[in-house]
Amino acid sequence: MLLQTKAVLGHKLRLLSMDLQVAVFIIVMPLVAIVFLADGYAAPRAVAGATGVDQVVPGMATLFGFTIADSVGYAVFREHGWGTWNRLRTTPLATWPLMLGTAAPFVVLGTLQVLLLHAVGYLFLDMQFTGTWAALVVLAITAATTGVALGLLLVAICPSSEQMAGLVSLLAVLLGGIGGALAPTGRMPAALEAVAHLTPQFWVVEGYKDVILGESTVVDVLPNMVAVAAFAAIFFVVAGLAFDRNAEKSL
Amino acid sequence: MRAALEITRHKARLMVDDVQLIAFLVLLPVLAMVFFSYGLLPPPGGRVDANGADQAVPGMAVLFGFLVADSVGHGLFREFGWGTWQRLRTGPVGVSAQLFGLVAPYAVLATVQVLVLHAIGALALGMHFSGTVPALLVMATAAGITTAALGMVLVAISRTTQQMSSSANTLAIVLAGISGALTPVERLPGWVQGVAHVTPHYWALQGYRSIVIDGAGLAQVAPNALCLLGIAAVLGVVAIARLRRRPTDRSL
Repeated sequence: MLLQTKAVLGHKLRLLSMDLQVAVFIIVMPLVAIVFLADGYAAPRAVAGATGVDQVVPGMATLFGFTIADSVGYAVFREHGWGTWNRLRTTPLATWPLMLGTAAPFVVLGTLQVLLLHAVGYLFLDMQFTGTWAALVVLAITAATTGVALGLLLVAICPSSEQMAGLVSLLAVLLGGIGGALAPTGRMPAALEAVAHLTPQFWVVEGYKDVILGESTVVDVLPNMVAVAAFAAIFFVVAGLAFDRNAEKSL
Repeated sequence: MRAALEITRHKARLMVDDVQLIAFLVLLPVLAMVFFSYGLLPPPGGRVDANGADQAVPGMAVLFGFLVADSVGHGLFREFGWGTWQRLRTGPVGVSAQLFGLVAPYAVLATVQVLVLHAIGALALGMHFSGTVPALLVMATAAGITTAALGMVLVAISRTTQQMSSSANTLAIVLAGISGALTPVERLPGWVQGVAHVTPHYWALQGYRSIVIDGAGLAQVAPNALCLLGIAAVLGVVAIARLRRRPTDRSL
């Protein structure tokens, strides 16, 4: 199984390194959003020295972090479009290595995205950073894994890449918005604030804010990680159950 | 002209069936606008009781309004992919009439989108609306025409759908940012404020904003609308000139 996963992984990495569009969406878009939104917000928490950028960086890292689901999904749909998916089906490759090999590079990419956005915020935009980078790294890995799991789930249930892309955008903005990625939950109506806890984005964005403003370490963000990981587990299980490698899909 | 209208009617019928496109063009900006209106600071100047919605609604109308260029691009590339562009080229209809017919429904859609966003903003999010409806209608129409022309140019200069789509998305967010659609332009660095004036996004945003918070009427937004139409005319001429040559070597 390990060998099979490695083979798929190597192939996906090669494809990914040639794909400029993925880099644009994953890195350039959120960076641009952060730069232009940095002065548009008030500070999310009453912490000395905190500014709007302390809302924008964690918020955009969370919002765009979940759109990694789109890239994962597209990587699978493209195989259908190229006709290479049918070729894969004729090989002895099992489903799990195929899914893991496809997903792994995007977990790495999603994690790097979060770290890069926070680094840019800290180095160039006067974002606070009072916690530890280790806490940020483990949270980012958990968040990226959840985004990727969502992508696999959507691949399993959507017949076309268009449908999947539409759903990813809607879910990212809807759940990200409710979760506090676009505005601090404290500024939203009480009804929205109440359901915020039911989104993975809430735990991610609050975790990032705890790290940059609340001096949080790995131990402090553990509850957030557990909550986010629970969503990832649900997404993975449903994806595994719903996934049919023989299903016809269109690019 | 008759031919262009006939193409428009056909294209509009196809678009009505595309529920996903409509949902994407309306649902997504409405959601973003709702959440941004809770988070964004009010625009400076103008009225003292300005709120986050006064910044978020015109801002999202500009950001998502110009994103319609991506849908225009996909619509045209699909015509190349289906071979229907080539088939029409063998008939007596000119390139400009054909293009006009194909992109006009998108201009209408973009216009309606702007009106819907402002209506929801005023009715449900506490956005002020101190100007006049005809002023907003004229601004929204001018912006809709500009976004359609932008989509045509992106198709004319891109080899593949992916290239066009990346350019449309990146341009939309970068130019929206520079124009002040995300953070008011007054709070951006001086050099950005200078660059802002050459983007259509800036003229659209200032128009919407003056209607929302400064009570602008038709006469006040006329220069903004004319500026947008001027930019649209230049983009349209470039697109037609390029697409008249070899448009069909593009891949879906």
